[in-house]
Amino acid sequence: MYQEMTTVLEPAPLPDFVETAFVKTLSDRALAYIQAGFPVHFRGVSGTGKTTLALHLASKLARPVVLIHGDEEFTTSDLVGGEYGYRFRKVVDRFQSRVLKTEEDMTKRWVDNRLTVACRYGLTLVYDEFSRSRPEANNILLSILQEKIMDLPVGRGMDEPYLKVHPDFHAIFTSNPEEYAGVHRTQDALRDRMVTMDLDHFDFATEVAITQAKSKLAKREAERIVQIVRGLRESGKCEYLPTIRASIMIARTCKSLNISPSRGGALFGEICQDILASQSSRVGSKTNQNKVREIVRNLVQAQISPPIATLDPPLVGKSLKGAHA
Amino acid sequence: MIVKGSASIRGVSSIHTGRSSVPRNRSTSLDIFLLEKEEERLNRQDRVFMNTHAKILARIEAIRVELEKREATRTRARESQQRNTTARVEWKKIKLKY
Repeated sequence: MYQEMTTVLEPAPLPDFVETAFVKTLSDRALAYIQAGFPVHFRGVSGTGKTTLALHLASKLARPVVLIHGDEEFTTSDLVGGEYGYRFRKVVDRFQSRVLKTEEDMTKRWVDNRLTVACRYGLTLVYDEFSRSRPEANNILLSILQEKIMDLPVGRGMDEPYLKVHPDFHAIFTSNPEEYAGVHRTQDALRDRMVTMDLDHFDFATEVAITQAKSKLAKREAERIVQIVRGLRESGKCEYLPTIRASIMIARTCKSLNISPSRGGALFGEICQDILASQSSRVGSKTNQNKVREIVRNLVQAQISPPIATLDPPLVGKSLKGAHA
Repeated sequence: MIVKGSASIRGVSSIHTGRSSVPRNRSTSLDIFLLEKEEERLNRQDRVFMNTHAKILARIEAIRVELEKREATRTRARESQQRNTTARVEWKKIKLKY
């Protein structure tokens, strides 16, 4: 008997995890699909909470979790397992005092990878950004999801070449849209075997609740920040839509500098400019940046009361270092 | 030469003397002679038997050793197989906060 150490994850929500009605509806629906025996696939643009929702769903299943991140370099053996190192065995038999019998053998050591471990012991697989792996690397999933059987390499040298998938095995996938950099097209056969839920940005109430929880700002202040970010998102002028992460970044910065978005003045405006202009532009062209900066300036002006021009003098032009101190 | 019908020697129905001639008048000395011969024969037979007995004992011992070797090999093979196939899985759980 030999000892095998397997590392698994136990997802648990942070104290500031927010489950609004919007999130609960999504997770309940996804849980229903899982319990009906289908893998769930969360698809959506960046910042729509795919991975968090996948982990939240996995925690509701109350089974250990195996987390895999899709990668261009992945091959089937990175999912199934492979031969890593050797096992050497030597037996010196002195059962008869006048007879010395020795026996030596050396075998390649097979190590199961995460997918095999998950299938064998009925763990929950969270395959994050699975479309970043090449489609042929994910072929092994076809039989696992449909026939509930996993074909293992013959040279594995242990037991059966087929592994019956544990009934408690569940799979949750996440992916970005296919036009994203480094993302492959998903296999039709694989997509056909899972329930795909397209996620969009959260609703206003959820975004406010998340921003408030992650930054510990007052609700009214969080609402102002979310309105600025959503305003930019809905303007239709951005190359790349700002996400909830932008709201959290602005809110946390405000909290750490102890400034109020409603009375933040120029400093608040600059923080918004820095975070939103960079988030909404991929190429960084000057024209586009100026356009975004103009929109952000107007949105910030609309949220700040009284307007920036009439703000308290000490806050205007105050350096970050000074404000933090 | 086989001499039969010697009523005076109880329990001995025939005696192998190896002699070509036997005195006509069987006397006590003849009986002693015949008994000595019989004793020799029995001793010789006993030696043969003892030899055979030792051979059988040695053979039994060899068989016993061989059986024990086979049993040990089988036990070792079984343990080896168990060592290879039955893995004791230990879980190392890491909290993942989201």
